[in-house]
Amino acid sequence: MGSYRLPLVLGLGVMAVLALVIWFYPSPQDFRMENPFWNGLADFSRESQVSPLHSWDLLPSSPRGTTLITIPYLPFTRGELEKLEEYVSSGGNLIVMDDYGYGNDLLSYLGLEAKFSGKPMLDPLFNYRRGSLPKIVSLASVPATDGVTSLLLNHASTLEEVPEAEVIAWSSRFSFLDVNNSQKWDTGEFQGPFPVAAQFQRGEGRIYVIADPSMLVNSMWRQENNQRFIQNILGGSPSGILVDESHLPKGALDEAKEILRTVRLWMTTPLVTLALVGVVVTLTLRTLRRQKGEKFG
Amino acid sequence: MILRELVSKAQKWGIVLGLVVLLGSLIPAASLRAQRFGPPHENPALVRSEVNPIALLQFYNDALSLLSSLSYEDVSQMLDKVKHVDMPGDLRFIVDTFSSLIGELNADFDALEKILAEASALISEVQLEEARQKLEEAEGLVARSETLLGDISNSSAAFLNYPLLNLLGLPEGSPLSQARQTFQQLLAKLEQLQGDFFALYQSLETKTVVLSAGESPGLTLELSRPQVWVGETLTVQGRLYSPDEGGGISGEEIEVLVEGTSFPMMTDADGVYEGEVDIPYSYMPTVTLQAFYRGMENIFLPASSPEAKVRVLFFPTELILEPGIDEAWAGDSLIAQGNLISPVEGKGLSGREIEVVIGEKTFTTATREDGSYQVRVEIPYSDVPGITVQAFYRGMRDVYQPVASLPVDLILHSYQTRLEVTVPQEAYPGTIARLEGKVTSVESGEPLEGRKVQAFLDNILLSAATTDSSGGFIIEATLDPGVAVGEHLLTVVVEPQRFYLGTSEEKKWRVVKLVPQVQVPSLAFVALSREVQVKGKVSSSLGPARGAQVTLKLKGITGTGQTSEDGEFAISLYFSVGLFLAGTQDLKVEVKASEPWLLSQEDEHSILVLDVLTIGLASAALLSLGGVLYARRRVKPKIRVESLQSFPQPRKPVGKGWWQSRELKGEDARGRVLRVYLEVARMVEELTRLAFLPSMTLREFCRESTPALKGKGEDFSLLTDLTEEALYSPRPTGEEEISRAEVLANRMGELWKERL
Repeated sequence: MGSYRLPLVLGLGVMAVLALVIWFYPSPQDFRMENPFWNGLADFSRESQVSPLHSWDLLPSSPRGTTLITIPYLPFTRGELEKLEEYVSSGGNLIVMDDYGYGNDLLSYLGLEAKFSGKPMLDPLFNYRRGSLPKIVSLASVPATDGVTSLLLNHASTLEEVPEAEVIAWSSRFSFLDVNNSQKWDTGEFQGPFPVAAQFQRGEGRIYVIADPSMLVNSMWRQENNQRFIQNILGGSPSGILVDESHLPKGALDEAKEILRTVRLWMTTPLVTLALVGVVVTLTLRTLRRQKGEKFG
Repeated sequence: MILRELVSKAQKWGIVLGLVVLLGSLIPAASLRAQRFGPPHENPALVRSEVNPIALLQFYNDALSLLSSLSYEDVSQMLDKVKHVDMPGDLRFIVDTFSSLIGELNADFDALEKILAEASALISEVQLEEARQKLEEAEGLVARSETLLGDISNSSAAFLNYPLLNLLGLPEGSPLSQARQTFQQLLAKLEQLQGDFFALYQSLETKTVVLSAGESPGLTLELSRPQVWVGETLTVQGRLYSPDEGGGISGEEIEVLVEGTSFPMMTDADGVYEGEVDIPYSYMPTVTLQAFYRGMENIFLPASSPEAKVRVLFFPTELILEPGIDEAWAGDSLIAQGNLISPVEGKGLSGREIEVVIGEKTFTTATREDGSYQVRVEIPYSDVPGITVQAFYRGMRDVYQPVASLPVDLILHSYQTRLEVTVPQEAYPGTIARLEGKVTSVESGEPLEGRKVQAFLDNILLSAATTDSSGGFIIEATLDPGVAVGEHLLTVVVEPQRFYLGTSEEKKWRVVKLVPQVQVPSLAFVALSREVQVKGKVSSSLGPARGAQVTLKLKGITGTGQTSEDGEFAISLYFSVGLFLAGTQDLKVEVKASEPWLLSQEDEHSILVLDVLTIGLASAALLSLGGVLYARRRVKPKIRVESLQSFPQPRKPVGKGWWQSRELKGEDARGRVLRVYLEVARMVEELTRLAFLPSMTLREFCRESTPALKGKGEDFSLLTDLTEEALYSPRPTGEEEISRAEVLANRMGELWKERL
């Protein structure tokens, strides 16, 4: 008995502690809502009272008054695109924040001509310390920019084929598309101003397209008027704000967390819960019985 | 002893726990290492500042270029954005100073351009005093801009000498070198622009001086005829000539004004002008004409001719109106007739349009061949005792003068209408409001059937109805869902009808929204599926609230749903396993009504939540704990029990050699001594109710139990010593030790008997 007790207890202990650490240690992955580090969305999530959306099957059936934020770093399935189109046309608001991901698939499916250029935009003059952190100081007079004088982006891209009337924000005329990643303007590289944010009406819903998802991360959230800008956009979402976590890049920890979530979900089903209660009671009674047997023969 | 053992165990498990925690803490690090390639962004807090000197110079080159092209608004907007450019503090100071100076110069140039333009306009209108005031303002701005340019020159030197912008060994054709050159060229252009403004100021100043010393030329106006028919053209002529020499001024425009209408003409080589003017159909006996000359810049001041009057000819007319009656009933009609004649010619005027006006109504007809006319006129509804009828001939832009008949006063009779209306005190947006009332005659009190009644909310028609035989009416009006909450003006109007005047009644009507009432149960069960289903109902005094969005919040868990046609909802909240659910909880209910007459509502209810799993788990844990405690109490009583009667009977017979029944095969002397001891120890456990714990040594158990053994404590102590000797002494155990142990055991057995 004694020979296998220690390894068993040790193994169970390691498993329990690992599970606790995985459960409670926040994900350091980009754009994760629980990530409190510079690249996470913890501050935004807390202040804007957003809810995570792990599966698009859980999209609200009455989307009016809700807003879905998606940062599409993983491709969409046909079913997801169909659900999204239904969500928008039924009155849900959608914010697509992308730079180098799969945003164009989404925009194209929704019938928008606008698309992400997918090329890095640098601004050597209007920036925060470096051209790759461009400041946006040309803003249209729309409700989304009420009280906003500047925005700060982080390794942003630009938008293309956006009708002038739909543009919310432009980069400065000093900005350029650094196609060859030389960090400086070279002959042949397009110069600004470029649209970086736009809004569209689709059915009963509104779509906001922003060429940089990083403006939501903790280290960018309070820079310039990023917070005000996003909150202005989210102002029309009294029924809830959802952040699509199913298309974010995943780390090993995120995958482990997902497994734990599944296990927890499984453990909270009636059958398993009953079984667990049964095991606890059986073990207790067995121990008592054994103790009694040892003492009184 | 127990404490020591616990410490020892804690040390052992502490090491285990430490190892586990160490392994666990490696997970996040492993995860970070295992992280895949992520989105390209960086932590702004860790980024080092980089200033791009070429972009900064280009920015100012743009601003200066715009200023050179007098785009003041654009310059202002650009300079406003410079605050967003990130740069070191010392450069920021230079840049801010430079921007401020450029901004001031921009504002001065803007003001200077406007003032000079105004001065120029005033000079062209020969308002020389006002022009002089503007030029004084301009003089101050010109001087200020000159000073500013000096400051800008000094500031730009500091700007260009900043290390980032003035790299040593800068190649001639490099972008930075080119930007510096452009910058300096644009600064020079600004100085040139300031010079241009100064030159313009000077030229305007000179003009003012010249004009101040000038004189007006002479201008005459002559008419070809002294009298003319109304609407005809009249030839006029005159001459513009130099005041000093009397010579004609050629090629200048003269405007002849006839009752506000201007007729332009040009002077010929002798300064003579000639042309035709139209005499307006004003049917005035005379018309005044006057010629004007606007002046020539730098040469002649404006001039005007003396006024000339021409007599206008036309035929006077006369309009007769005969209504035929001198009393009328409201809503009735009468035949108005009469004649339009030209007394001078002694004939009636045919085909002329006549308007007969009664009250605010106008009826139109045309005259016959002999100038007579006839028209049916409806008597308007009015509660005044008399009404006036009058005919008008408005004229046809010919020689016959427009005319009005003499007014004819008629006595007006009518009946009064009484309106009684009942409206609900409050109305709700989007609902049907029911207005009831009755229409009767004031004079007779009889009900009036077939009267049209209309309801207006803030002067917008809501709905209408017609009175029945009893004079009653019901208006059912649906209020606009978007109508604002608050006090509104409801007007109920009864239309006039043959001899009966109309009437109306105004009422203040409050439009309100109702607060939905939310009913939720006071008890909820959390099933094993971790689901709490909360059923409830949302209603108001108007009935159930349909399609309302209901949001429930219980312990941070949110669920939403919609109410059915009956206003009922059933919302499931899913909880993870926890121990917090059983008990009274605050349930927050938010209702967003879809019906326009309902307000949104937030409410808190206290409900008793019973969690089957939590209660089950807690019960299981309590039962287990109870079981363990009970078991421990049985084997390890800590309290001395007074009455031995309550203890169970010994399971073994007591007597000499009572331990022998447990003799084992192959048992040696040591084993026998030990067995005797164990049996006695067991008996001592039973007698003293003290447990011989596995962690105890024989001596410790002896020390614990001796006080309770009274006179036999010594025997048990001796037996303990004997057993320890047998166990631990190198000396072999023999028969002597066995018999000593048995003797001691027998004596201990007597104790058992005594206790019984």
